[in-house]
This record gives sequence, structure tokens and C-alpha cells, in this order.
Amino acid sequence: MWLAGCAGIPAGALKLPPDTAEHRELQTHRYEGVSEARLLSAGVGVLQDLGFTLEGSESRLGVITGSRKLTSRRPLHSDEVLSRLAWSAAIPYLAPFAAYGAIHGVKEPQVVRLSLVTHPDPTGPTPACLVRVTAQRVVYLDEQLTTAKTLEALNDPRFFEEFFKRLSLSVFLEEGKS
Amino acid sequence: MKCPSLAGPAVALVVALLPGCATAPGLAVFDTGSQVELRSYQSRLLPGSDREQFLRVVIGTMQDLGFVIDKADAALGTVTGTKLAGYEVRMTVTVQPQGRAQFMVRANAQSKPKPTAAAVAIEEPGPYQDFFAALEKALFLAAH
Repeated sequence: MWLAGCAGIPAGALKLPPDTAEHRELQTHRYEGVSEARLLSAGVGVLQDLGFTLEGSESRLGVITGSRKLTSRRPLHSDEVLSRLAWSAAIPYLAPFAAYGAIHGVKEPQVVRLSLVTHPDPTGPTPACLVRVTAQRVVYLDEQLTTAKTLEALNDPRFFEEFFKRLSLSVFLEEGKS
Repeated sequence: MKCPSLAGPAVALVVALLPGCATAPGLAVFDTGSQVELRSYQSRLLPGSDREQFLRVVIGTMQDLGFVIDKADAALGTVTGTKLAGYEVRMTVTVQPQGRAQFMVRANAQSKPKPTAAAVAIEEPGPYQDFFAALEKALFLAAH
């Protein structure tokens, strides 16, 4: 799969992956009896609550895009733990730094980008609207975000669960306003 | 006494004055290679009559392929998105009516093989053929 196809990217970079249906299900939530306009408005509210800046929107096509800069910490990978142990054994002076890293994890300055797309779904017994979220992040080596290290999609099911939970709450609050 | 040779500086002057492969900075944007051939595999005529519905299918297809939608414009018929998966692909798709029952769909994409690489245009037919295959499948499913 990782054979260089064109311009250095994998040959199947624009081919439908075999797990397309699973990803679509994970990224999609169905809202019964809610209009598309109300869902988009609730979506903007969630993005703002999460500290995202709105980069663009096209309500005629049900699209909202936002981004957020943040720094998170991730646990060390096993090879990083081994490497730090080796360095600590070689230079005992480094042991406190290795221990700090093991406890607090590694800093990851990053930019997260997310698009929320709504789609009316007339197929069910009651009118409904589908919301599909796709998200990605660029992790940088430095806090100034000058050197990118990792380019990846966010596919953690917990991310989508939490996002749709917040969106449901936002839809509920929007209904209360009207 | 021997005179210092003027051959070296003379050759350098001639080479400097020869028209080479360099492009004036302001004109580099027009240097796009074999544009006619490129357009042919970046474009496809597909059936459809409702442009907004068609654009929604394009957006859904791009999401299926792992793109985050950067921007979309219903009036212009454009969608731009970015895919990150260790590499980066940025693609714009335009949808223009052709008669009453067809759209001319054009895609063009740039890629970065790794985070620190410079973006280059994708000029091979393969990725575009894959994209249109996915789009045609989505259009078929949307119509049935």
C-alpha cells in the first residue's frame, strides 16, 4: 500500500478505503425532527464553546469549518520510555528529566481542523438531519508552530461520541431559546 | 609577458545572456506543463440536474475519502478539502452545468508526501480516476 504512487503519496490516496462504511457510521449522527438550519446553528455554538475559530461556512450546502490551536500531552510510547531509560542509565543526571517526561507525557503543540456537514434525511418515518464530522490535526515540533511533525486524521471513537453529545445538548438548548 | 586570459569572463558573460530555463518570478504561475492532457483526466462529464444536491454528493465523497472540507461555495459550485494521513492532499472540485442534465466536474489536487515537504501538483491520472470512481459510486447510490 505504501508504494510511492504519485508526487510521493501512496498509490491509493484517493481510493475508497475498505472501512469507509465504518468510518462514515462513526462520524455521523442522526437528529430526528431538527431542521438543518438549527443543526448548523447548534454546530457553530459547539465549535465556539470548544474554542474553535470559524474558518468558513456555506449554509446552502450545510458546511461549517473551524480550527483551533492547542497543546496537549500524550503518554510516552514504549520505545520512548526505553530510550529515556537508556539515557538515564548512561547519564544519571538526566534521570529526573526522564521521570518528569514519563509522568507528565510529551507536549504536542497542534492545530486541529474540523468540518461539520449536515444533510437532510427524508428516508425515515419522521424528518431528520444527518451530521457528519471529519477532523484532523497537524502536530508541530515547536510551540511557535513552525515545523510540522505529524499529519493525521482524528478517528478516535471517543472524540465523535463526545462531540455529538455536546451537539445534542446544544440542539436542545437552541430549541429552548425558540 | 603573457596577457591575462579573457576567455573565462567572456564565457560567463555569454552564458549569463543566453535564454535559459528560468522563468520570471511573476510568470511562474503560468508554467503548468501539458495543460490540455492534464485537464482531460482531471475532468469528467457526469449526469445530474440539481447542482446543490450534486455538490452535497461531492462533499460526502470527499468525506468518505478522509477529507476535511475547507470551504464550499454553492453559487460558484466549488468545494475544497484537505486530507491528512501521514501525507497531505489538498483538492478543489468544481461543478459546472453542461446543458440541462449534466455537470462538468473538474478536480485538481496538490500533495505533500510528508509534513516538511513542499506541495506539488498531482499530475498523474491515477488519483483522479480513483476520485471519479468514488464520486460515480456515490452519485449512483444517491439516485437509487
